Amino acid sequence: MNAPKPPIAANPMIPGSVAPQGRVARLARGKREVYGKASPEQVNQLLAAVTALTAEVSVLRQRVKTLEALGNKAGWLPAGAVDVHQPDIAQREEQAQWNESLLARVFYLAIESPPGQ
Amino acid sequence: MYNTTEQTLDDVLIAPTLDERGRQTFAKHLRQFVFGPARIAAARVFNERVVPANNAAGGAPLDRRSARAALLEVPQYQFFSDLHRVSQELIWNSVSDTLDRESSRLKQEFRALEAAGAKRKGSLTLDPALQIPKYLLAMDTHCMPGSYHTDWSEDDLSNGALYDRGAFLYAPSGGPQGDGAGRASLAFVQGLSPTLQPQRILDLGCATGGPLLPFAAAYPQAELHGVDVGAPLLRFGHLRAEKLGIPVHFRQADAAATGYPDNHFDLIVSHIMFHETSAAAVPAIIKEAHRILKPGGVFAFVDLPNVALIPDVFQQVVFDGDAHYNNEHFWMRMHDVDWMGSYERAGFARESVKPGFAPIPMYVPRGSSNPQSKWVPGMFGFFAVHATK
Repeated sequence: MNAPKPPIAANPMIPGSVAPQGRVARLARGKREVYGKASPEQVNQLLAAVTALTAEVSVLRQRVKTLEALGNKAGWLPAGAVDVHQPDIAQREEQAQWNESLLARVFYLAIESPPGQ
Repeated sequence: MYNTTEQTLDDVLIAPTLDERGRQTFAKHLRQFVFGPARIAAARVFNERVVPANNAAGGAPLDRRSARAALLEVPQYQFFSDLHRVSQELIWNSVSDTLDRESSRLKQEFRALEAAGAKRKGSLTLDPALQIPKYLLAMDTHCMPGSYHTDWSEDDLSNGALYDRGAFLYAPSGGPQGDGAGRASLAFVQGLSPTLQPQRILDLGCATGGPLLPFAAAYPQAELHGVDVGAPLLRFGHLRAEKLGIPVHFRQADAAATGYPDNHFDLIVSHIMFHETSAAAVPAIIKEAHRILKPGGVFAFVDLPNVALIPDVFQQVVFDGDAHYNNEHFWMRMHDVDWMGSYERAGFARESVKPGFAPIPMYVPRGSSNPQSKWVPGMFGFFAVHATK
């Protein structure tokens, strides 16, 4: 059996991003069955799914704003404190790392390879 | 570690909210993802499948065109290219959200400055009748909606701020003040003309004026001028230069017909402008530079390198992708221009024309391992030409 190759190389544009060696592959070997060209109906389904996800993003924001308002009312979160917060260097770097791994998880199919391939 | 808070209100004159900053930060990280893991995934398929298949079939070695044709069939390359385009669109759109709130305040500041009249250190001369060159009207360069010249309202500064903020997000190596290319060209000029002490300097295609800043520092006695076709860029550049207290005279004009007198400048520079023009514009601009240059004066420009010289054919396809997915249509073709012939026909003596290489410095923002921002030598260099009249 071939040794698995590192599925994600380190991102040279983000210092400190380390390619995990010997991690569990995210894709299995074997043929991945795909259909032919997407039909208009399937594209429409994708549009519907993206729109529904947009609605969920809106719902999440409403909940965050509700938490901020309740925190303000209860006195544990001053009004506007979130909006004027300036992340420090460690927080910014954590966000950059997190965004990179978020994108890697969302787009796993485009950037991962099955083991040994 | 690049971050979006490194560029301050003093640099870009607009202040994103928390949510807007989040979108701008994400757009920047998305771009890093595109040119990091997504590019690497496509490169792996190219090296491990496309090249061996071509070799097995006895095909000629892949060049930029045949490699691109093969890669267009590779899902990983399709993904990389599609996402490249999307990341560019998200960068501009994330800044436009901020401008929806901030452009009217910018305009008020600009109008207050105009009303100050003689108190200004520099000047702004606009030409509302200027014909925008066709090559800029054909498409929005690097996908920036409205390109350099569009006013979305009267006395608009929007696309100046959009350009400055967006450029910092997609090419943070230029620094928060957009002066990285100016640092490269200043070093190039000083290397070949160490005793030059210009009294009057012009930047052709000056955009918002960032590249002139290193020249203002190096030649404090010099009068600084900048021309560009884009009125919103010039209004923004004028407002920022006045806020910084740096006297710059901005003029709206085509670089091929600047309107300055003959023999007027000691030094003419230009930064990554030619690759956004056309094969017809290049000789016309060189001719104009020669006309307005004093005898003994220097014309020096820096622009994007000829990526056909990069040994890695996959990386050539990646750079060429900017023409296909980022409206940088003249980048590669720029290097097919007869540069030496253009200089000679403009009046420059052949021996006075020195093509060269200008290393591009990299801006390194503050980070956990780097408590102060700094400039370091970069990996890439500009195509550069130094010519003396």
